[in-house]
Amino acid sequence: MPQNYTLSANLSMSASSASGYTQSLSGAYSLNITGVDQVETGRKDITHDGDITIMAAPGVGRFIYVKNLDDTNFVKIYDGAASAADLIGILKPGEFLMTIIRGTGTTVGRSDTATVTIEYAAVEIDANA
Amino acid sequence: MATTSLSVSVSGSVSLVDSQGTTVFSYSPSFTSASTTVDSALISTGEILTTGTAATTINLAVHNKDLVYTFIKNVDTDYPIAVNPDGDTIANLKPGECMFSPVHIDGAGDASANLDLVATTAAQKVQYLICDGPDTGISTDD
Repeated sequence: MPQNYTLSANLSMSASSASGYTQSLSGAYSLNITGVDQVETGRKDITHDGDITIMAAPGVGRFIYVKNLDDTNFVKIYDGAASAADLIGILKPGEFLMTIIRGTGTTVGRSDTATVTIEYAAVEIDANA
Repeated sequence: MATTSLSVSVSGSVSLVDSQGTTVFSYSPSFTSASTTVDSALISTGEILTTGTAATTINLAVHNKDLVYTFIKNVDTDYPIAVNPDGDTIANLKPGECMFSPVHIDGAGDASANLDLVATTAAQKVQYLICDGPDTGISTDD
């Protein structure tokens, strides 16, 4: 029987110019997730010569967190196949993305010029989450 | 070309707990971007009211469309909004939810210049913070 979960997330971004000008924005939310099948998390190698699936197509949508653990190359994260051009984010070394997509695409990654390792968490969400 | 450098710092946390109280995972990522003057020139921030179900555009024509650090937050109380740079949907945010991603919005032929916000039912208030990042080196979003 599928489990029920509570996902809690918060984000903060601060942009600063050397002139002293700084702007910041932050947010926090939680999702009560009921009866879903896919919780994908861990670390995974992403190659540059083909799509690597991070999460198979969900029924309704998913929360996605991906961090690029490489120290040299960037990695691209897609909603659907890379050829479909739905680029969610492009992560330089050390960077991450965190988003919610209420759609049924497969989440895939493709690196730049060499294989990189990512840290990831992808959680299927139901229509009420 | 900017003569004063620019950088961003981003941090977050996410955890998943099941109905038994067991923590399935917990992550607390953070990074600070490289401080550059060549590619990173602009910070844009504000609060915008999306115009019903039609796309409401945040014009990024003067930003470094090769990479913009993008934070979007639905601060309204009623309906989800979609975040669509270059026609791609990278988030669907219900009220109170937010997203962050380093976004590439060049599009085919580097012609795209906009990040669109689309409310699913009626106009919604959205807050945003967008800051240029260093070039990635790719010319389109594939």
